[in-house]
Amino acid sequence: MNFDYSPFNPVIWGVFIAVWVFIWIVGNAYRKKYRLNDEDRQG
Amino acid sequence: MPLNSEEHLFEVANMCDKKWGMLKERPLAFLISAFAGGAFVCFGAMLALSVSAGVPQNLAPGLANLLMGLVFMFSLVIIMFSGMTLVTADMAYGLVGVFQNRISWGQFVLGVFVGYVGNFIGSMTFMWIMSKGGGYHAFPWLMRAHDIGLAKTGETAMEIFVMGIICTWTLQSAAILFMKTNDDMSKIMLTAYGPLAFVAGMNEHCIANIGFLAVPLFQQDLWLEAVSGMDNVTPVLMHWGFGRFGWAHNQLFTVMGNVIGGTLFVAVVFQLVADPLKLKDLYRKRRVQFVADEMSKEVR
Repeated sequence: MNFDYSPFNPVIWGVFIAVWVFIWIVGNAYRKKYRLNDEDRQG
Repeated sequence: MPLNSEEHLFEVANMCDKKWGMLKERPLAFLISAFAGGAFVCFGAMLALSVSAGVPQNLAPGLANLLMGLVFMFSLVIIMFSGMTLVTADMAYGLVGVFQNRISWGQFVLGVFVGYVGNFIGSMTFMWIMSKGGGYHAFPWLMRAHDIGLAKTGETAMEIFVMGIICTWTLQSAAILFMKTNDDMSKIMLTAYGPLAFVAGMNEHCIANIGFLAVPLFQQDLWLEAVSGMDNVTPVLMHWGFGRFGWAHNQLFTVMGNVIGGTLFVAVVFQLVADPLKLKDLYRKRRVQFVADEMSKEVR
């Protein structure tokens, strides 16, 4: 099936979701490891 | 003197604080600033359309792109200096803020969504008003607007998606470097580079495209009337939906590309390059300064 003009292009949606899962994992690991701004958030 | 990497990223996170603080405390003001930001982008789109109409392709195929980029480039400058909101810039600032624990993931998504809505309204409103302007009803501008629309909506999903990624990769590199220096001339030069690169580089920007691709749709009746008597023109119509030559087709994949370019390749890269231990020191210094300020207030 040709997805060139379809809103459900599986390759693009796959890449998009994979990238955001990657960013979410890296971001959470970074937040947990370095805890920047933590003291200020706790007041 | 430009800031070092850690001071720079600390400033970007401060900008995130300012933006998301505004969203929390004055949401209507945030929405209005996004409305203005969307319109500012379309100031550039209007100028790009204006100067590129009628430029012969056989003179130099990239000449029209260069002219468009040169007049478009101050759009980001006026957005940054006025403190208005551009959603693609906020994606990069916001993600840096998430990494530095200034905002949560949920706040990030909300800010990006509200920014997009405001930018959408601003971009559409400005371009709708512009499309009613007499100058743009003349034949060369009607043709140029329609040609741009057909070219952008006629691309495949993958072509649009990758051009969307490259767009915010270049544009947000410039937007994030705005905080790297302290003098106005450097800020102007760095910020102007972003729109110049993405327009001359034929990339896809969601907010610019909202209005850019709406103009030929607003003017489609006039265009049809203008080409109806011409034997050498086969009218190809644009539409608002998904599918080839559809406004929504271009917008969906442009947004998806833009959401990746400015975050993965700019925010994450800049954040990981900065030394987290030095960043931690900056937070400690800020905390010490804050406590000292509080104590001096109490003494007074």
